[in-house]
Amino acid sequence: MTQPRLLAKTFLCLSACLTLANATLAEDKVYKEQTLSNGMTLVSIQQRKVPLVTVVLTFKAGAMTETKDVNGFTHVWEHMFFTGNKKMANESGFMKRQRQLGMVSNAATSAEYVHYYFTLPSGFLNEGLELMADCIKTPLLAKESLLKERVVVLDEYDRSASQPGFNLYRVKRAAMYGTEQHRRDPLGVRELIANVTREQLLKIKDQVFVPTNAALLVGGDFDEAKLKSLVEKHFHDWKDPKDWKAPVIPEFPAFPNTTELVEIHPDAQNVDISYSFAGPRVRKDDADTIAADVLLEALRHRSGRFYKKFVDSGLSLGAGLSYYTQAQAGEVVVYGSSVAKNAKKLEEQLLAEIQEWTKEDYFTNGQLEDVSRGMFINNKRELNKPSEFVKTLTFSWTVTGLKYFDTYLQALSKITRKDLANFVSKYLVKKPYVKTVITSPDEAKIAGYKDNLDPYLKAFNLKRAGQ
Amino acid sequence: MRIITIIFFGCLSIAAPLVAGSIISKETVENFKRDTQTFRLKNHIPVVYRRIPNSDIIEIQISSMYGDRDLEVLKKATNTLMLQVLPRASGDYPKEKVSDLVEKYSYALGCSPGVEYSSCSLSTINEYWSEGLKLLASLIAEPSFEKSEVELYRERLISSLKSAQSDPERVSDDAADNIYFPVGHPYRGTLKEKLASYEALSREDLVDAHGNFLNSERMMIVVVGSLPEAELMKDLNKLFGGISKTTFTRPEVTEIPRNKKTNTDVFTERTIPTAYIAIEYNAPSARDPKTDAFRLLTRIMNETFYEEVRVKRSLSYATYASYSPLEIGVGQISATTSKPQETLEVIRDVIEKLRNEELTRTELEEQRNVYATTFFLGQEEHSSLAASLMSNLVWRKDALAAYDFPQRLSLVTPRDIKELAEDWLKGFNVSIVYAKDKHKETWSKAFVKYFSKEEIKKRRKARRKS
Repeated sequence: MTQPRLLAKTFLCLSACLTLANATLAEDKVYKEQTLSNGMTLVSIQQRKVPLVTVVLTFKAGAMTETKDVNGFTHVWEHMFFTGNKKMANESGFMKRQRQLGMVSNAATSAEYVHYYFTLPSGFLNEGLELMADCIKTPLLAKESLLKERVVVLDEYDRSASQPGFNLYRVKRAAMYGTEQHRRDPLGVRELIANVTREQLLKIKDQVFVPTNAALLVGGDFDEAKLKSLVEKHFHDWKDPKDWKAPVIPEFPAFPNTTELVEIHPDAQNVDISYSFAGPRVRKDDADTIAADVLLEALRHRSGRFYKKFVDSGLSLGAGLSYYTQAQAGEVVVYGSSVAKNAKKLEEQLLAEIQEWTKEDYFTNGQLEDVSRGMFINNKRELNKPSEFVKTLTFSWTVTGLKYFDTYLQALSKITRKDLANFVSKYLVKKPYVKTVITSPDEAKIAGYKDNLDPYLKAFNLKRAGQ
Repeated sequence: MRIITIIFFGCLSIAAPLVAGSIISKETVENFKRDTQTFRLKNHIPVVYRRIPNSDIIEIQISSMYGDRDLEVLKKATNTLMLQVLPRASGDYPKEKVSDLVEKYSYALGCSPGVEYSSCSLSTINEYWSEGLKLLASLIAEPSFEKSEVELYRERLISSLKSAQSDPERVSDDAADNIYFPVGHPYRGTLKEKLASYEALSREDLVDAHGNFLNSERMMIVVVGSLPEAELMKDLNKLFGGISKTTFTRPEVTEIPRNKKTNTDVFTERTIPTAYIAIEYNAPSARDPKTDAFRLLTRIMNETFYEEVRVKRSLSYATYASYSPLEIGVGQISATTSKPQETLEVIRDVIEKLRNEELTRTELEEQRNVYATTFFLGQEEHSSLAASLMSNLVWRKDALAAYDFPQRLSLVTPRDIKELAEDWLKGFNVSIVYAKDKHKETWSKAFVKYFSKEEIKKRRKARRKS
């Protein structure tokens, strides 16, 4: 198809005055959810701010659905998605089509979801859906493409391995998740990636890249009334394999006893310290995951005790709590970074401070109100950018469930100081943790740290990157 | 549950190419311009106001033509430190009060240094705008620069710079800057020089820098939101209309010498499994009429590197071309690869082809198409829209020129692209970070030599003969 004919499609002009209906997330959904004839979920959110539409295809897959011997292959699969299908011989064909449609695209694989997205002019929604459908229905996974893409994935691996924290992070993961640690490692094992075969990828396709395990999310400027039939047109013949069942994901082994890991790295700077605890999981401990989010924000409050003591005082270069909502694992991390002379003091005080969080008056009600208000405002900001909001919904569908998303802000606004204190007692106080410290040789001398990583690397059958 | 559809005002379309091949309809552009007002405060600070009907969010960006360019080497870090400390407290708003307000209303309030101009911004919802604007105005007008805050942020910025040295990509970029920008050039500021500057700065330096920043002769304001214009104008005049003006001069920014014989490549050793390559070169100024076409050329390079380096030859996961249009422009090409020699050769061949062969019309049209999407992605968010308007106000003296970008692009021809490539894609400076035993100096030297004046001349002569 030549360019002028493609661009000869003109798109409807919203010339009339259209009223803005602000969604009040407390009561009304901003999206529509439907199930298609092939079992795939369709989630749509119409936001006609600009004449663009974003299409996201997401799967409940990732490192969590891998076994040890295929660790990293879901990520390789993600790369192969773009390298050719029945209508497109190779990735160059995909790139050409992308240019014709004026499309931007990308994909990502994490521990708990894989998603692919296209953003393109709304008049090309049909073509974008067709392309997405072709990529997932009939991927060629051609041997020649695979041989090439393996090398690209290895370079991606090597980029990560070039960062100072790479070894330490791998050891920490192995310590925390034991024999199942591969299910928190989407990047995978270098040696396995280097030898992945087409047959292995085809097997993964049938295990996880199937309609019942997927959702298509469409956000932006489109006609809601016509969407379902349009999606059906392109996806109806994409079927689950016979007798398909969702993969069973084993539980992780029990959290280890307290473990302390120290790496002295020639390229590290400053002293980075973290304490990782076993935290709540969404779909199991929903209320606790929300408490974690509130605790995280409350600790960041500039008028709060923690911020003043650890950040404003200059004791640390930055400190706080991090928590990433996940369904299979929930890591709560207390972290801090400092110059060498403050490092040991920071370590002690961070740990000691956790106990203080169990006191109900550690935070004020005003601070919690600020956190809640801030999250509502943040939500408005997210809604303000349709091409990104649909990706927020993508995470919600895949990891937390949309019901969690629907009730999140309301639930957050009800978290009390007592809830936070209970959370800290339940997950942090006198609980085992995996501690990590990384610093440079010079700073290690000042602060008094010694590298202890080697025995752990050996125990977990890992090598230092670059060796 | 009711399902609410969120719909906005607008008459937006991406149209069939018109006579000039426009990818965004004229009607859309006219609507955007209609929704954008420009006026001046009583002290002549220009204001651009883009109305987004029914928007809950409002964003203001206040820029000043004061940046790293204006600072001598020993003081290079002044602007960054000044702008980090500025939002912390002022005469009317001590630190505690600032913290309370920022947290209570969840203000996104901060400042960022730039090479040519620097900005402070506030993003909030309409309900909290009035209080936030007063806060921002006070912080900009009379920041306290408390000594304890200066020291706190100095230490943080020093540590942050040191941390940057952990990242091989930053190290490679820094090494490229070191050989590309001559010593004393206003754009030069290596990690080492900035570190030294941070150590040497005093509070008085920050106060001086602020005095330069706070000058109505240098300042510009962009607002994106849904406030009534008259009310906005009144508030801005009240809070910013009293800023006085001072005549100023800026250090001249000279073009970087191109046909250097030495100091064109550098290697930094690091025991890492993949090489980080950074290449820098001269590019058109932001004021150059060809700057838009060069953006397109940069995009073409980006796409072609991806295809040739990554897709066809699997040499790299990441290869990029980028362009910083400033008073003088700087182009950059970067890549990570375990095969730097092969990668440099492919990059070389891509560039050589662009220099010598015209794209077809279809190829050019295809490369242009994505701007239909990126243009509107920029319109989606208040901050990116404000930044685009500000940039056009700075470089074109006309904020509304931001909306004409797709139209200007539609006028670029394959010949324009070839001529730009010939004029600018040469005189490269190459930095590589890698393991010593996996690298050879000759690789980057060969690349640099290939695009030297002499070698280009030789090849041109040979082509004419044949």
